[in-house]
Amino acid sequence: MKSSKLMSIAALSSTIFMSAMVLPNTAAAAEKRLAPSAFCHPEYAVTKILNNMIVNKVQRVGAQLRAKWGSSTVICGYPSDSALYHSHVDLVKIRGYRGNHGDFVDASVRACVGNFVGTQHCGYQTDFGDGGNFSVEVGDLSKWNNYYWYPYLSVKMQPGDRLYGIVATD
Amino acid sequence: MNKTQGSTSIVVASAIMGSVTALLAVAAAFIFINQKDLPSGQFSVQQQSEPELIRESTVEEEIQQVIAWRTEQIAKFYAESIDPEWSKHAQNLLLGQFDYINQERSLYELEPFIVDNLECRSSMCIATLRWDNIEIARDASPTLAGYNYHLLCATSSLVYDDPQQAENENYRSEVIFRCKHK
Repeated sequence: MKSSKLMSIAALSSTIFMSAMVLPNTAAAAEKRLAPSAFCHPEYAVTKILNNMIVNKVQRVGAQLRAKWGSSTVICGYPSDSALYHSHVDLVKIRGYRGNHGDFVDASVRACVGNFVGTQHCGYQTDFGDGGNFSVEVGDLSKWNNYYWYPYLSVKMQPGDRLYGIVATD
Repeated sequence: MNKTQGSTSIVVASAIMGSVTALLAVAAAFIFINQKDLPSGQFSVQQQSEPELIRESTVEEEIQQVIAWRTEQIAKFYAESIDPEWSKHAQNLLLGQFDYINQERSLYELEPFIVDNLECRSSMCIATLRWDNIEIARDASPTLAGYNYHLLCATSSLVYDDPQQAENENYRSEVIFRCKHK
C-alpha cells in the first residue's frame, strides 16, 4: 500500500511538470524584422537615363530602400505565417530617413489588406515627419484584423527618403 | 532478494526517475520561458495558434462579403447629415487628387479613369470611377486605396466581378472614404 502511494506521487509529480512544459507560453512575444530591400517594391518599376546611366526610381542598398527621383509609392508585403500572423500583430514600427526635399512633404505609411477579387482596404495614414531619421509607429492596424485577407504596407516616399527596416510584434 | 526488498527497490527507482524527469521538465520550462528574451533580430520558435481557420472562402463568398460590407457603408453614408463646408472642401480636394493620380498614371502609359460621381457628407465620401474594363480597375485598386489624399481617411477601393455590371461596356469601381472629422 505504502509503495503504491509513493509510486503514484512520483508519477503525478512527473506528469505535472511535463504538462507545465508543453502548455503554450502566452507571455512570449513574437517579432518579425523585415528588410525593406527584400520585402518592399515600388508600385511602378521605373528607370530613367541620367548622365548616360540607368537610374532606378527606387534602389535597393543593402537592407535599405532608397527613393532616388520622383515621388514613389512602395508596397511592402507582410509575410504572415504561424510565427506571427498579421491578425495578431499589435505594433508595427517603420524606421527610415526623410530626405527633407523642400516641397516634398508627402511621406507616410498605411496598413492595408487586399482580397483576391480586387478589393483593397487601407487604414489611416501615419506621416513620417519633416526630416532626418524617423521611427514611427503605424497608427492604424485595424485593417489587419481580418486573417483571411492579404496584408501589406503602402508607403509613400520622396526623393532622398530611405527605409531602414520594419518591425512587427504582437 | 526477497519480495519486500524487490518492491522497495522498484519504489526507490521510480521515485528517482520521477525526480530526474521533474528536474528535466523544470530545466526545459526555464529555457522555454526565457525564449522571449532573445536579442532583437532572432525569431522565437513559438508558433501562434491558428485563428479559427475553417477553410478559405470561395470567390463568390468573397464577392458576397464585399457586397454586404458595401451595403452597410452606403447605409451609414446616407444616414449622415451633410456638413456643407467640409463636404465641399473634401470633394474639391479629392477631385484634385484623382486628377493627380491620372496624371501620374499617364506617365506610365496606364489608362486613365473618369470620376463619374463624387459625394461627401460629414465624415464620409464615396467616389464612383469609370474604367475601360475591370482588369484596369483591379490593377489600380491598391493605388486608390493606399494613396495619400491629404484627408485623414481610411480608404477602401471596391473592385469585384459585379453581376449587375456584366453587360456594361465599362466597369465602375467605388472608393469609400471614412474620415476623421467632427
